[in-house]
Amino acid sequence: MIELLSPAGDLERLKIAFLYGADACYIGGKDFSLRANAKNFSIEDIKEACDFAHKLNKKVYVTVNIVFHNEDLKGLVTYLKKLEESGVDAIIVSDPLVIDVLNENNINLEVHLSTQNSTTNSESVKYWMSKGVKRVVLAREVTGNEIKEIIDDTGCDVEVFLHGAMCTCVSGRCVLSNYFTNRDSNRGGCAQVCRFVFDLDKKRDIDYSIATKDLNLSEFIPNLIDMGVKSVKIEGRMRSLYYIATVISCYRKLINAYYNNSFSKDLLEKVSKELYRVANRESTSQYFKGEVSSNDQYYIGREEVSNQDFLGLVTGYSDGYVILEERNYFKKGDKVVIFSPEGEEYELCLDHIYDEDLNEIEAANHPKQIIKIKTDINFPKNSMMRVKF
Amino acid sequence: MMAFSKRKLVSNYFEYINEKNINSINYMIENDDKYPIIENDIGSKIYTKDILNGIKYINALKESGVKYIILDNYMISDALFKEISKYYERAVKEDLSDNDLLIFEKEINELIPNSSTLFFDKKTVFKVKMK
Repeated sequence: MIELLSPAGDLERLKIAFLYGADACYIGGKDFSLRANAKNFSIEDIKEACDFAHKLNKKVYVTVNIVFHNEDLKGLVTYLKKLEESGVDAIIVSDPLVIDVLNENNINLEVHLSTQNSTTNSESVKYWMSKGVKRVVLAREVTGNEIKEIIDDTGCDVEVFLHGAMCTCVSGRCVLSNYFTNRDSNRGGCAQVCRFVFDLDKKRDIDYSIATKDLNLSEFIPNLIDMGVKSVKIEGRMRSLYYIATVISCYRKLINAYYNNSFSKDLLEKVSKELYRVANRESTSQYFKGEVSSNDQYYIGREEVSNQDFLGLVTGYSDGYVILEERNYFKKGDKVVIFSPEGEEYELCLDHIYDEDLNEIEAANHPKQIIKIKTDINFPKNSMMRVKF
Repeated sequence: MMAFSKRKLVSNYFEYINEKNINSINYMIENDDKYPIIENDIGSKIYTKDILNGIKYINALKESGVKYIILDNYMISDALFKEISKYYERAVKEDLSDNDLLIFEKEINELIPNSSTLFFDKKTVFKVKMK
């Protein structure tokens, strides 16, 4: 079965990703990872993540994919040894020096080549295989036909980005952030300058932007499975718990449906609606069908409106009440959906809302407030309540 | 060059606004700073607003064992490039003091006002910390 690979910015999100159907998670350590501003994992966290994953027969990959400057080398050998001891299933690397360091120090870690290397052709994949790379995360610029050709030519385990934000420029070869903000995009500090708003030539009223819409290959799940892609990857180690749960749940349903011969237009439409709501950004298939066009970009400066759909996290069920931890404002009379890690969904009308001590209240308006709702349904822990749309 | 994209970042925009592009070089403008963006058949290249002038570091580069330096005439007129090349040729071949190089730097900067030492003098930051 094709692997559904989720991002996870911390242990809580990793556990949610696995519960909602991810087969593997990729995470960043405190060092050498490309999301320096994410919460990231200590070595102790990584060990806990691996133990948790392996009990579920799932996997953890750790990104070690910065472009190293000499000053970054200190501590690398020790760090890689600790990753090996922690039981990580693979590391994702960009700089070939990491492969040499593994070999020279007899560190036994499976290596996946990061998309930061922007691998776009079969010969390049063969080269990296000859260096001991087990899996290649292809560049986001490759088309569907190219993905198939590379798999057919090389037999390599290929990982493909499936969903999420895109780089405008070729990954690993962009220093826009370095230049504009002094933050090194290739060492974890990318400031996403490609989402800034510019003027082109100072002649027009319409803003100029090089920002891209998001990637969404949901309709191509059958193609990706049939062409032999080993793993499909969701972007977003800095994304929220709710985002991870929703996106992983959607793709789990699509993948399972294809294997069960029940992949349908109706399911795709339902899932597409949920995927759009959770990101609040437009998406396209980007390079999958060939060259990108003006339809794959954003030109009008747009403000990112934070998503307030996530209303509460289910922490338990007791005496006929589902117990929730509030995440966004909701009130009596609201119509909501509670969805579970197993993929079940229930619609509810909130006729009555109670606080922790069972005093009836009009609204839940304190983040993390414990709320109780009377229902006969025993929602499993870690189910999520969202706005009905 | 700061970045390369396989996307047609200029012509897609003109298609979007339903206009025809008549320029071979366009400029992304932010706060009156102009960043050249040039598109061809394979994609789009985005350049810095500055022209690199690292002549003051020639002695340091020589001492570090650097064997070659590259001069790029992109976006510099032939006549100006010839003139600037002479400074660099002297800086490489002659035994000049750091002070001489600073004078050369100043003279080149007068010829090309948007000169800069770019990343020579600008250490980038991020949050990878060693323990």
